[in-house]
Amino acid sequence: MKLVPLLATSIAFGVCHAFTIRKYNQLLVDIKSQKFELLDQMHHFTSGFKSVFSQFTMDGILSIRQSIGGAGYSAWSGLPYAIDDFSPQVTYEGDNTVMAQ
Amino acid sequence: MIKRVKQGETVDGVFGYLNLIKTQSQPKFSASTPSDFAKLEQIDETFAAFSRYCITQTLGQIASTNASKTEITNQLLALDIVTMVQLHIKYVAFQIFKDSLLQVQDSALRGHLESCCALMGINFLKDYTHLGYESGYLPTGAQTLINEAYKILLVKIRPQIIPLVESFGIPDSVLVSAVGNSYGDIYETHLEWAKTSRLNDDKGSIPDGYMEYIMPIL
Repeated sequence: MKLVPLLATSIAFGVCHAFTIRKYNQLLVDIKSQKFELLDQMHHFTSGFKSVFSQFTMDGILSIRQSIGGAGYSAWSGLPYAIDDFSPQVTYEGDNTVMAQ
Repeated sequence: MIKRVKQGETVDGVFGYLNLIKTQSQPKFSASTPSDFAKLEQIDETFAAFSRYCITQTLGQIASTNASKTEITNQLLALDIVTMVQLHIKYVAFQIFKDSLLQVQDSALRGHLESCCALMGINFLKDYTHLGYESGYLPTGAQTLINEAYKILLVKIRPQIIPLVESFGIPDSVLVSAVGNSYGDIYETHLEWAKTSRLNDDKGSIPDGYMEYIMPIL
C-alpha cells in the first residue's frame, strides 16, 4: 500500500522522462528551421514535471524510510544517503511557491 | 493552451481534454462497480473531469478580480493556482504513461503496466475527490468505488512487484544499500560490509589501550 503506488509512479516518471527528452530533441530540430512552437510546451512540461516529481520523490523516499522501521536510519540501508542526496532537489527544482516578481 | 481553447481553437495531444471547457459539457460518471473504476478509460475520464473543473474554477476566479498579475500569483490565488497546476501536471503525466502503453508489444507486460498506470492514476486522483463532488461529477458512493478499485489494483500488481522493480536495473554501485542490493541477501551483505569496513580494521582506527584494557572485560 505504501510501496506499490511509488513503484507504479516511478515507472510513469521514467516514461515522462523519455517523453520530455524526445520532445526536446524535436525542439532542437525545429529551432534550426526557425520553428518555436514547441518551446511553449517544453516550458510547460519541464517546469511542471520537475516540481511535482521532485516533491513526490522526496515524500516517497521518506515513506520508504518509515516502512522499514529503524533500519531506514542505518547507513547500510542506503536510505540516509538517498535522503541527503535528494532533499535539496525539492528546493532547487522549485516547489511552486516561488514568488512572481 | 487555455487561451487558445478560449479563442475557439481545438488543441490536441495531452491537452486535448481542455477542449471540453469551452463546451461546458461534462461526461457522466458511469462506473458502478469497483472493477469498472479500475479500468484505465474510466480513471482517465474521472481525472480529466477533476482537472477540467479545477482549471475552470481557478480561471473564473482569476477573471473575476481586478488585481494585478503579481498580486494574484503571490497572494490572492496562490494556493488555487498551485493546486490547479499540480493536478494538471499529474494528469498530463498519467496521459503520457497511458499513451506510451500502446507501444508495448508484449501483451503480458502491457497488462502489468496498465495496472501500474491505473494504480498511479487512482493514487493521484484520490487526493482530489472533493473536486469531483463539488463539480457534481461524482455521485454518492463514488469514494467507496475509488477505494475498492485501489485495493483491487494493489492485489493485482502484488505478484509482479519484484520483476517490475528489477526492470529498472539499477546497479549496486549506484544504489549503495544492503536492503536493495541486486541479490537480495540483506544480512549477508551487511555482515560482509561490517567485516571489510575500515572502522573495524585492527590498524589505526582502534584507540590505544582498547585491546589491553577494554577488550578483556568485554
